[in-house]
Amino acid sequence: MIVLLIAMAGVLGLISALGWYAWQKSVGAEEKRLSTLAEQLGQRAESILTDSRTLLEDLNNNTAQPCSQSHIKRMQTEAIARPYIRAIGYWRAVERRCGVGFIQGAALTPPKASKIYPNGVVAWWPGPETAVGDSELFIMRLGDHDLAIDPRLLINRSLASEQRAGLWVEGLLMATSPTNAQLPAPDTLTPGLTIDREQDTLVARFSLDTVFPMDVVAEQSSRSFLARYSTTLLTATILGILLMTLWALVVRALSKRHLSLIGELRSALEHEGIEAVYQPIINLETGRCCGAEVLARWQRVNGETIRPDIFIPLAEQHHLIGAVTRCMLQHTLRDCGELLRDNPDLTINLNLSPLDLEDNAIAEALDVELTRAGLPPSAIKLEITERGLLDHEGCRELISTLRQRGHRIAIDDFGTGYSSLSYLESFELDTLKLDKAFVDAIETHAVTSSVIPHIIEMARSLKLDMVAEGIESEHQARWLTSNGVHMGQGYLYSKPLGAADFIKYLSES
Amino acid sequence: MLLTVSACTPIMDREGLGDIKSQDTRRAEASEIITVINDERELLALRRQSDDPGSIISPDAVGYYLDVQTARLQAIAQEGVAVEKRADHIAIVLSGQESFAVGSSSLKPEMRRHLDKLAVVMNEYEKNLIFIGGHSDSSGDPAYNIALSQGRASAVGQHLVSSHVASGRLVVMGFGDAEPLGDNSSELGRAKNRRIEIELWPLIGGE
Repeated sequence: MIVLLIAMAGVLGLISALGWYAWQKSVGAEEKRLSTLAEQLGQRAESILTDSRTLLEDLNNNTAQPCSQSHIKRMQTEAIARPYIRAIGYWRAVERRCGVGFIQGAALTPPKASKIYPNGVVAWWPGPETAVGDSELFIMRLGDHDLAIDPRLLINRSLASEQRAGLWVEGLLMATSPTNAQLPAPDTLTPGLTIDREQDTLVARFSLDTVFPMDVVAEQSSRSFLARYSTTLLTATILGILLMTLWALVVRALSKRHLSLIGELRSALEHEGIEAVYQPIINLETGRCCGAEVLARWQRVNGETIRPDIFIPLAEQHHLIGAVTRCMLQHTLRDCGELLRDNPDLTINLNLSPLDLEDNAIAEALDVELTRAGLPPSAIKLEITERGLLDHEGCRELISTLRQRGHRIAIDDFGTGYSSLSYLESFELDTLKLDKAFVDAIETHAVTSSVIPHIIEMARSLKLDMVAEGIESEHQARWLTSNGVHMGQGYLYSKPLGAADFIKYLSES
Repeated sequence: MLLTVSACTPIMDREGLGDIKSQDTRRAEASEIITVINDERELLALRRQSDDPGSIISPDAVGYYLDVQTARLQAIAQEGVAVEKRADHIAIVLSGQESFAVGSSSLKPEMRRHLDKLAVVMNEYEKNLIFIGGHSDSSGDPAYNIALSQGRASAVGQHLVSSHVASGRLVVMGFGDAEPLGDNSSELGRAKNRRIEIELWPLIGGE
């Protein structure tokens, strides 16, 4: 459960991290967008004004007869080519002699110029005195020609709905988009990007100082940025939540199965759902059965058989192994009790989990059950895996106690752990069970086949009996006998049998 | 176009002043008469006098007239010439040093060329009264200074006439050292004071 929560927290953390990263990128992109807008507006305005001045110079240098057909045509061509130019006029002092754009006679003579340049350019900024219709125009005059620009067309880039921009030339406001937008004056801002937290706005200032000193201020509401990205964020969040939920559901389903299995096991233990089967152990020389290893089998209600290598670890994880071992003991004594009483030389091997060695529970159970069955401890041999011995050093005493009572101890799956000779010596053991892997290797010429003699030698020097597991061929059996291994079990002799079948087997051998 | 005025004196030949009498002045005597005044207050009267509708500007176009004219004049200005737009007129200040040799009222060639260019603009912007004032520094005899400054102003006027500016538009006055610009105790200041100021006054109708 904890694991699940930690995992979910981890996924949440990951999604948050991704979300934050995406946000930062978006904010950065937004800021860049605004800066780029300001820059582009500024550059466009500058190129327009430069071009206009050049145009006036060219018109003044024109040698055609003033107000002739070709002169007017020239003015017309130039005006049409530039959508921001509303009119071009030719003047003599304060009289507009001819021109294009305005209705004849409607000449603008604003009373006060905004700026008179040393090079002769006179400029009038947009204002009530330069209004034609509803547009206030920007007028430039050089020599005898002048032109009128619609400043709104200086900022012709379509701004996003929540963006506002303003153009200042020579520190005087030229145009804004939208028309009535209130923008902070450029000299109150630092060049570049400013974030105004109080008003929740992003402001960009871009300045140019080549022909005409100009500033562009572009502004947008941060809140609007949130609005724009909120859909993306919302979608991402929803997706994230959906994925997480899906994942959680999958995990839950899996764990439910996992948990339900445990529940079933618990139930099986209570209701005799776990069965015992017996694999005969054979004396390799005589060929006669001298005992058996009891193995647990679990058949679920739906008919599915669960192998011990699955449900035993499960049981161990959920502290049910003690119950399983006890269950096996009870089955053994019930199934083979009479057999054991009639055949004192017979032993049944009971597997102990390493967890069984952690407390006295199994020792007590053995005592109680054997007494009840009227059998000596010597009837039950205890099998402990090599790994179990290695992991549970503290069981030394327990083993000693059990042995003193009369139980024989066998070390199971030998060769798969890392124990040393001296380590083994420190325990009181009786039998060594040779792992199936080594027996299999007898057929082939695998490296382990060269290890077996050493193991056998070691067992002999420790005065341990040997039982070979998983004998499947005569060849293996012969090799083992010739090498001093006297007992074995495996499919060559018999697969694990039910109680009745085992009794029958025993009587026949 | 002639302006009819009173209390003015035509230019007299003052033999006693030697150099002051220049070729231009003689030409003036022969052909055109430029009005000379001795008191600035007379200028005001002159400015108001015109009735000819072709010679005046409507009041709402005056500002524009001055602005555009200033730009034109500034564009052709050169060393020793300063163009200044004032509230209701334009002033072109010619440095005395650049315009005349010491003690002479004979124009230097470079200044003549500039005056020619100015004349072109003045003829385009013909709705002006052109008031030429000569100024000197405080050194020397005051009467001499007044005479010299008037002579120099007249010289400028005559040259403009020779460049086809209508003489009737011109009014000339010698201030002497009456209106200094700079401090007469320093040479720099005195140089500043020696100047010709050409004032262009738009003739406004309905005033």
